[in-house]
Amino acid sequence: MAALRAVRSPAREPASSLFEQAFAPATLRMLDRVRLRAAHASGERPGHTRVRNRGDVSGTELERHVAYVRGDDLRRIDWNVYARLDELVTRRFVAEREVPVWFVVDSSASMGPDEPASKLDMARAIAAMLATVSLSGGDRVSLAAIPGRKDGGPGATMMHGPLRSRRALAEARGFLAGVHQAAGPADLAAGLDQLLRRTRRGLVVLISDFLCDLDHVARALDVIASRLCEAKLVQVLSREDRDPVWLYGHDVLIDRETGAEHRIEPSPDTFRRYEAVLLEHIASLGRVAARHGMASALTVSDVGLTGFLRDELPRLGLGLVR
Amino acid sequence: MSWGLSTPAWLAGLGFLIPLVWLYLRTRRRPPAHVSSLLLWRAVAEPVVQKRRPRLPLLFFVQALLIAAGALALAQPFARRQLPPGPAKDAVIVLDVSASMQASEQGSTRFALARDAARQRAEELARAGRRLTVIAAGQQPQVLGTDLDEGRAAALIAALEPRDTGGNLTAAAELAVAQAGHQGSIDVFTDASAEGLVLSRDARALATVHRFGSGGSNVALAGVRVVASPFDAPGRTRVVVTARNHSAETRTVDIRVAPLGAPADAKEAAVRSLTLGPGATDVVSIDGLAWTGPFQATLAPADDLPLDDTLYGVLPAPAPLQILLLSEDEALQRALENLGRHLGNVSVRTLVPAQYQPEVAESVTVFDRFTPAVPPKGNALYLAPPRGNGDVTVAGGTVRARFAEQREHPLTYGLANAHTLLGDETVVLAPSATMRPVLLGRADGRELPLVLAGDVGGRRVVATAFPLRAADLRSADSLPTLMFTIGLLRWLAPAPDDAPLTRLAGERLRAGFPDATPIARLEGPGGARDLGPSDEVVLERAGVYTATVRGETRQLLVSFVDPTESDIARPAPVAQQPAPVPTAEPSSSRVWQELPYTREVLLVVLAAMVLEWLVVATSGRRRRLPAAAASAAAAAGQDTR
Repeated sequence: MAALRAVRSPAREPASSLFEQAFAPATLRMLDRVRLRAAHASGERPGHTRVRNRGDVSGTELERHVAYVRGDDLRRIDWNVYARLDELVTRRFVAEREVPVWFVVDSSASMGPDEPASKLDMARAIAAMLATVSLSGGDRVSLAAIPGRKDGGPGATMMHGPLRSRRALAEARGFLAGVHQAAGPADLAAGLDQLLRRTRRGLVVLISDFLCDLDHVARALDVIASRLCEAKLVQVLSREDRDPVWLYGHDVLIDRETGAEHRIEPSPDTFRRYEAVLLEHIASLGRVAARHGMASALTVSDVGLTGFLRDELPRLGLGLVR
Repeated sequence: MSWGLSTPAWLAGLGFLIPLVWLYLRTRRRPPAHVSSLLLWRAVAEPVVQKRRPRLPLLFFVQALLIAAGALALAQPFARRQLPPGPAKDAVIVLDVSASMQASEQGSTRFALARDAARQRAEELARAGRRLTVIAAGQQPQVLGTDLDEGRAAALIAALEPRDTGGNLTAAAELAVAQAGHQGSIDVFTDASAEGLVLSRDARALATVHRFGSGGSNVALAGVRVVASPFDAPGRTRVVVTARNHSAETRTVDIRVAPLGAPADAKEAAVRSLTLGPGATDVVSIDGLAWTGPFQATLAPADDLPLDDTLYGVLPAPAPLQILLLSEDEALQRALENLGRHLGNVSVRTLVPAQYQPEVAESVTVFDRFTPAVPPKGNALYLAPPRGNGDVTVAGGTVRARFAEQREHPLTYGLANAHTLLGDETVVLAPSATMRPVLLGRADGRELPLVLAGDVGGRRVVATAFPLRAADLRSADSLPTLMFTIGLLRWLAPAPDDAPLTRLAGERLRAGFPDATPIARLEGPGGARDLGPSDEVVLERAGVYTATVRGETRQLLVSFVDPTESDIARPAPVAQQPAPVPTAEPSSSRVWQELPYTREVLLVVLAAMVLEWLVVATSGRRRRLPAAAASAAAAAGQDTR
């Protein structure tokens, strides 16, 4: 329950589009001072992202020495050390590479409704901000939405990219502005499998409410891992997901994705039990992410962009550095 | 007990329940809410409500109660219960004790016959198991006893005697209805015909009239009046006796006027013979009586109702009348002195108003256009008083009035052409509880008294709105002024303290009347009784009473004059069926009583209104928290649908 309270921010922003706010000059100035730091992802092409712990790259900035093992490139052996210490060690350099980054937005019906300050609006805003940072850092940015189209199937995708340099920010904005709420659920695993066919060692930022069976999430993470990509999960929840008191006076619930009905007894006791289930779901999501060696973040749509940048991104582990 | 509604059409107001129910069901139908996913909700462990009827809140039931109670109140509900069969006092015997029942009938009197019949009827009713009530129908009906058995009722009836007053059978019958109840019976024993009685519908439904006496020959003395002036010689006094023949044939009667208690052959007696046609009324005037004091006028020969053959009166003894005139009008002074000399036994003393002192007042004090602050102790005459005092009230200045009405009063005996009394201007007098108008005039469209007369504190007071004109008192042509002035002096002349009082049978006599010292004891035909200062007795018997006042005795002469009772010749009764004897069992017809319950239902309406207010106040407080949370969510831009 304390965790729930932690994500509830009393701060409120006007009910204007969060996505539009992401491109406001003030927001862009704030984003100029941050850089994206990936833990493992790195591309093959040179770029501006400093990549550590890669033995197959050369550079000018020595990262560290490691003991030689059979198979290491003989050109990396530090012969001066061998002469002094009579030990074979190899040099590791800090590489600056172009990181292929995927920003995948869940546009299923559960993210709706398609209106300002909704979960989908927040997801698009987060994708826009992170894309701005990535483009500023010289990364290769691809944008996608699953299912992306209103009448597409659960595994349908809509993508744009790759984009390079900040000049492509307008293209990213145009693509994200065209992402709307789909009619049904999203099959993240199928969509990611389709998107990441040619991607290796990339960073996949998956933005969704993850109010689905966690096995589906696990399968999606498996797809990401199979491409040697790093995944970051951004869970966007709305206040109505977190605080069900608005359901007083309603005893029939309808699933936006499936249209299924469910009867409840709108009572304080019911709502307490729901909050307990939601906390357990969030914790389970974290455990699934951890099992795949990834971190997950939690947010709600009414924390606002400033709050997201200040409080949520560090918890996400995306490595925004100043 | 059964229930009913006086105006059941108002129950249509219950139709307002239909829109009330519709409104509540419409608002209670909860719309479905769209949520992101049912995944978590399905995991919430709770018993799933498969089907739930819309629950109506307490407020609905309170408002429904309000509507229902309001409609019921408008319909005026009542409870109808059957009255218990026959109250305890269910057979009433009403016996007429009026004066006409003293008429001779079949060698006895009507009352004796009625009394015997009533006693016999009481025995029949008692044997039938009825409980008895006996009512004497005199001038005021009197319940002699209720819930009586046969012996007690018979004893009460036997002790009854007719009275020398009229009877009120209508009031007695209403009293009998109240006593008899719906299951009772009323037997009326009277000499009046059933058709002639004024009875209510209830009384007529229950009453059986037993009639006794129809014909009879009666000549009654209908009145006696003494035309005398205290300042006249006794020989100039006249006794005027009125007689009326109530029989169907011409009767010649002798009217004898003799001092009270004089033997039949007394030489002071004066006898006049009078012949009266059927239903005729005539008077005889007897003068030249050389004696004074109480007298009785009797009628001979005797007839069927002896009660109205004797009347009493008083011939006043001549006494010097001393008049004090307070006037600045010397002409009036001379005219009044001259009149006094002509009348004889009258002395007039004149003072100017400035010389007036209450101590100098005579038995009659005349104030000519002057009003003393302190009234005199004796009788007073105010002529056109300029202002008021304790005796008379003056309401305004002078107006020009014209004569309008002349009322019956000793002051107006023999007065004609009263309008000639008025001058150019009259004073506006105001009547009071004691000073009543005798002559009335009209000025400026409103009525105003011209002459007021009355008894103020045991004193006789007269106020005239106009002055006496001296010229009129000197001229024989101004007869109204002379007659009025003589009437004034005659009425104002004080009677001796020991003069007998005269009253009519049936009148109420207050112990404190007419003197300030009340009558302490009264002895007469009805027996003797002691009176308190504020006691009042009804003079039910005609005759000579003796009143004791401050240890001294004073005669009270009570005469019977009632033309209705004297008219004993009634139409012959129709053949009567014997009155059935009611049984003790209640009749088959049920008597219902309706008890309204509108006020109680209105109380329920008020209670429902208060309860509604409480429910609204309580529910508003209970919903504040969730409503605030929902509004906060909505303000945060969330979809709260």
